[in-house]
Amino acid sequence: MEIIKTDGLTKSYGKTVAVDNISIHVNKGEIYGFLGLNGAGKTTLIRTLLGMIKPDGGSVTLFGKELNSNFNQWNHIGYLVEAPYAYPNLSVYENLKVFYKLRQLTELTEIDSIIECLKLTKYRNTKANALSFGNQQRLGLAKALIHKPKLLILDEPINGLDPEGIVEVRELLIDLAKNGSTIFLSSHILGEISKLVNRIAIIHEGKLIKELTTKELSSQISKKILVQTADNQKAIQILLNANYSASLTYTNEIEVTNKEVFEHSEVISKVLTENEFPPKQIYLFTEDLENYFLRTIKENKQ
Amino acid sequence: MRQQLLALQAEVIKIKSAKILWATFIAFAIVPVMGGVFILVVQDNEAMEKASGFALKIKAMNFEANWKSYLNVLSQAVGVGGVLLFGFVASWIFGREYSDGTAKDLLSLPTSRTKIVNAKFILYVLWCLMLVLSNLVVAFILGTTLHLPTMDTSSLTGILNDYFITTALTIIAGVPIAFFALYGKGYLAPLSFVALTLVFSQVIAAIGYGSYFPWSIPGLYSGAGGEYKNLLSSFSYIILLLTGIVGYLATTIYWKNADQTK
Repeated sequence: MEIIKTDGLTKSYGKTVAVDNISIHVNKGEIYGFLGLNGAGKTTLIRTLLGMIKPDGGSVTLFGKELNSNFNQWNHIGYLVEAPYAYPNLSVYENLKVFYKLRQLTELTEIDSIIECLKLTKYRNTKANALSFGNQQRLGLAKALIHKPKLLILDEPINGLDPEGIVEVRELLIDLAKNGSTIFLSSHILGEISKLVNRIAIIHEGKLIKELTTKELSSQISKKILVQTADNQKAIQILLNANYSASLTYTNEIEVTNKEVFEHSEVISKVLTENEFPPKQIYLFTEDLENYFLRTIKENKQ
Repeated sequence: MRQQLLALQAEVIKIKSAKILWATFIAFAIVPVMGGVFILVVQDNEAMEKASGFALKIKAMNFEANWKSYLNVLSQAVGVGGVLLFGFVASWIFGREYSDGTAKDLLSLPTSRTKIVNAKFILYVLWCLMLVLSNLVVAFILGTTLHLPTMDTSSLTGILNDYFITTALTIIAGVPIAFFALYGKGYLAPLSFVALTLVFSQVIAAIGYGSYFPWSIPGLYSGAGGEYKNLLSSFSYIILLLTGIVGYLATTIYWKNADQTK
């Protein structure tokens, strides 16, 4: 079942097209990661999904129902948009009580449960303005999760958290997805997103430039064998003569891009050693998500 | 109805620990305290004979040491000062969501946006009513302590009637400020609007057109403009009422339909 569906979603501010004809769908139980540089249109898209911004064109469907003024599924949706602001003069408990009331919940114990779940018990009676940024982020997540939503829309949910907090939130989100919740999140911590999501979308200048599963992602991430010898120019010639695709990088390393040698780099070592240019160093380089992301954006520009 | 009540309870939680709540009560209580000082001076013949600047001002106001004079001062404070203070209250209730960065948290909830705005308006009315009631209580305590002569019930009822009608008119005049708080996304725009209305209400009332300017009408009704009160007509009250209605509609329509990017 499609929990989120957008069809040709478009939003402009004057001449700037913030969201340009974006069509995506997110299935039940899926964790969907949304990547983009600052100003790419991520937050505009998230606000449009939450009905805070009205699109100029296209439509949003949540839980199979079109998002319009009659939409009434908000208690199935939890969200955290941009920085996690809270009422500064209220304690963690009071801040959550405000949303307990506005979400029309009936069990007061739900407030303490979510406080415990997000490890905020120690700060239950601490005013929000005295919390660290990481704990404010936890409070923001607590507001988003207090009503056990079926869909979570999170903008930078691990921003400001310490490494322990990142792991806790990651595990929490994975648990929620396992229990059937659908999660739509944006983050600039790309390595972290790759550990979480089932599918990734890349947005640039308002346009969706790539959408792929994590399996597709791993196949698209570039790999190469990098080699260093006593004379790289001569070594390249030897590899070219042996029908390998070899070239010199700007860091003065030889890169070999033949897929068949990725799992058998010893073949390259053997060829070079037999021709008296034994490798001083040889290793398999795997592109990280940051590089993949930047490369994708660069390719899109070209 | 339950949704509306819950939204109001949420608003009450938000103001419970707010220092601004008590600050408004303390600021407004200056009026009955000052009135008490007037009474003390008027009751002291020696002080009045010295004809100090303060005593002269009190004489110019035709202030007497009785409940009528005292409660009239309170009414005038509501009609003139209330435009400022109630405007400040409205600015804070509506503008704080943007200043605190919490406006976005109120937009995609099972409690409708209209009910959230309504809850804020109800809180605004209750807050203003509590302010005028607290001033009455302070005045009652001070007046009794200063042995003001007792007043007959019908005169008291008439004065209190004027006091609460002035309050209602001032509350209505403050409604459009909510729109400026939402439109300006913070305190600056509504407070600037309040300052402007205060200046214009004085100037326009002074040149004799106050009965057509919504923010002058509460002051004129309270008697702060002396004989200008007689200029008020049904038309004046209709203008004020329409201002309140337009202010309310502009606020709710804006909150429901405008793009919320902050």
